[in-house]
Amino acid sequence: MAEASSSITEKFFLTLKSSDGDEFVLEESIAIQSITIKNMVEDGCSSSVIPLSKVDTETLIKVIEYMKMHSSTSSNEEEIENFDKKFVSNSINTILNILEAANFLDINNLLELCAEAVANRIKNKTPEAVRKIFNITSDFTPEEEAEIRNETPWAFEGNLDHSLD
Amino acid sequence: MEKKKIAAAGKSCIQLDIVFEILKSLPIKSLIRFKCVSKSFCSLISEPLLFIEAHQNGSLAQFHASCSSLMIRKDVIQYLNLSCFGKLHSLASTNGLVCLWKFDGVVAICNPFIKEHIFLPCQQPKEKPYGSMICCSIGFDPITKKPKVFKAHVRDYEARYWIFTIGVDKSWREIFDCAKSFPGSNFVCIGGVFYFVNRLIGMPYNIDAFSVGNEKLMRRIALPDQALTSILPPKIAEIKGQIPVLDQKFFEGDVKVRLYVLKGTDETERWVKHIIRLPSNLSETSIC
Repeated sequence: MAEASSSITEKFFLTLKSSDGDEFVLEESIAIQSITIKNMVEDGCSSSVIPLSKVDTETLIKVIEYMKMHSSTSSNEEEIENFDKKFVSNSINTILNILEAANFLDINNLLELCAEAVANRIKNKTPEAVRKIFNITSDFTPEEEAEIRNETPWAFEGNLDHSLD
Repeated sequence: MEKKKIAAAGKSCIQLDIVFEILKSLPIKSLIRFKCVSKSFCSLISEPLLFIEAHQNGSLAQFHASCSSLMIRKDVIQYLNLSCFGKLHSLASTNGLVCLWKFDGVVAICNPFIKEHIFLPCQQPKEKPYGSMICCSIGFDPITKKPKVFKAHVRDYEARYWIFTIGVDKSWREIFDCAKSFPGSNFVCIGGVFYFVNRLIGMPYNIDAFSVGNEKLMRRIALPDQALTSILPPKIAEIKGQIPVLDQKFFEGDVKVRLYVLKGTDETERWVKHIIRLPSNLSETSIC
């Protein structure tokens, strides 16, 4: 709806500001793939700069890249598919940052894409590697952890991956 | 005791709903392995819907999830998989009514048999529930016969509670005397009383009894000492109006479960232990 009206009449632009203070000007029809931004526009908060205090510049650039590709009428399915494939080949840390941004900005397909990509990357990893990737300190005592492991030893069998990416 | 931390300093901890999104796409074997990552991973992985989802994604083997008997019906699972419930990942049920919710406060109530549902007003506590958990329970007021939904919101070492009476309330009402109690998704509702194992971090596992009609915490029942051999919280169930507690620890290499039932009243009240040997063909499927 918004896309149609903005393309026929004139293009509206929004300014997004990252947590590092960098500003990005983006067509409104592209930015409103983010439900959070869409709600702000509908509430009339879009006349000035939209501050995204939880998204740093590096992540915001990636998110904007994604939104541009996924809203463009010129990109076909194959292009989008290839783009997505390349997109999730970023480092796991980058994807986690994008994932948090997608959650905050409420961009559902980006959230799903990244969540699935992270799952794919961690599925064969050891719990220790997962802790490091998510920056989690275990709150189990060694005895408690041993007990969980002993309950389901089969889940720890096979070639597990210790790497962090 | 050392203070519990989810994340080391320097980087903010990852939000639980994001972790949940990731876990959803993992096969069962990885899920089970990641239970030992941390306590919050462990409790997320124990969410019944996660298992149903993982199971339907083509993962191997039936697995014991804390589901009620409702959830073994194919038509019910099919209905709960409707896209309008797509983002709701937690579930509780009483008397055929199912309550589904998400950590950001979206709550839906549905009756999978007549296939009707409502979404309750979305209400967020003022401060963003960052890294915190929401848990709902649903019960019937024995006097008015109205279903009531209880929503507990836990942050650090404290819980806040809201109540919504279906068909009466227009918005959530907060109640104030339950700060030290958090239900987890395993509860039973008998005769207008919720019984659940208190899951608040830093508190021992006790059974809390909460009156649906009076909207008050009624009593706290200490668990039998022996039931706490496992670090996993014991499961609570209902058998003929009594509340048995099921120890989550299995005898090594055996298929026996230990069940404790509270017998007697007031001074004569005591836990009676039962050991049940499961038929071998059940050992790999649903336990409760």
